[in-house]
Amino acid sequence: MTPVAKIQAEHGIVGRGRELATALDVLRVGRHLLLEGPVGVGKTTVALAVCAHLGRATVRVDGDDRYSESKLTGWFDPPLVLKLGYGEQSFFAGPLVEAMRNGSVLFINELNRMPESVQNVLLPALDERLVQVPHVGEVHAAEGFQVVATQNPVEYVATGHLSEALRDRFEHLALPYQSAADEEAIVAAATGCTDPVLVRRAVRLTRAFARGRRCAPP
Amino acid sequence: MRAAIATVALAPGFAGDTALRCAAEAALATRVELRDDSDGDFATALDELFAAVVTRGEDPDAGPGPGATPKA
Repeated sequence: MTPVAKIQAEHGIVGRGRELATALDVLRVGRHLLLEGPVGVGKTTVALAVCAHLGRATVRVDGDDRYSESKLTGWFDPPLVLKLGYGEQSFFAGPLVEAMRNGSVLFINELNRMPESVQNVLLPALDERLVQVPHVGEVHAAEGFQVVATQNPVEYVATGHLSEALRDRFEHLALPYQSAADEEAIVAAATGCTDPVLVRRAVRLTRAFARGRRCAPP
Repeated sequence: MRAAIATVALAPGFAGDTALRCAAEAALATRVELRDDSDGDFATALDELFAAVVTRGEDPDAGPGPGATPKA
């Protein structure tokens, strides 16, 4: 059984052979991966399945427009700062520093919903494998540190452009909509529905809406 | 995908011939993209798509989409 077939079997993934193979290659050679596609096409499923297959621990972040730099790198606990001063003892590592220190995969869901200032914190971490934390100093990434991020296309609500500098540090993997047959297999597996007519109609209706996207919200 | 899964999961909970229509309305309502130049409402759009895809059996992948207006 090929690695891709094994991932498909272990994680119940229908199709996506090309995307899984690409993601495996990117992570195996130590590069950072950006998965882009519309809502609901399985970006997170593919990313986490590949990480799990490679035995990689992940630290997850869900991006939003109020995410801050200190939330990503880490923060100081005020009572501990008063008692012990600024330093490692009063510092709580955020997901970026945690992943760097542990040599884990930092999985960022919806990267382009994060403010640009937060995205910029990732630049040295991705490129030079270090990040500067005030009062703590330089944090260097342990072997194995990688970033896997997902994002919706920029025309989606609440998304923004990534800077060219940040995009340049990722390998890009597009996940388009799957075929109707694949989607029917996914829906049947996810629901346990044994009525193929119902599954086909539901998939067709959903695909028609995704294709048209023509009406105002109810 | 989540919308299709939700539609299939919800459909058995509705009775009669309108079960799929009711399930689709519940599942798709939160997944319709905002569009500034829209002149239709959700129920009308769903009725049109339902008639095309379910009643007439049209394949949404075969053309530009039943009743669909390409996004500008």
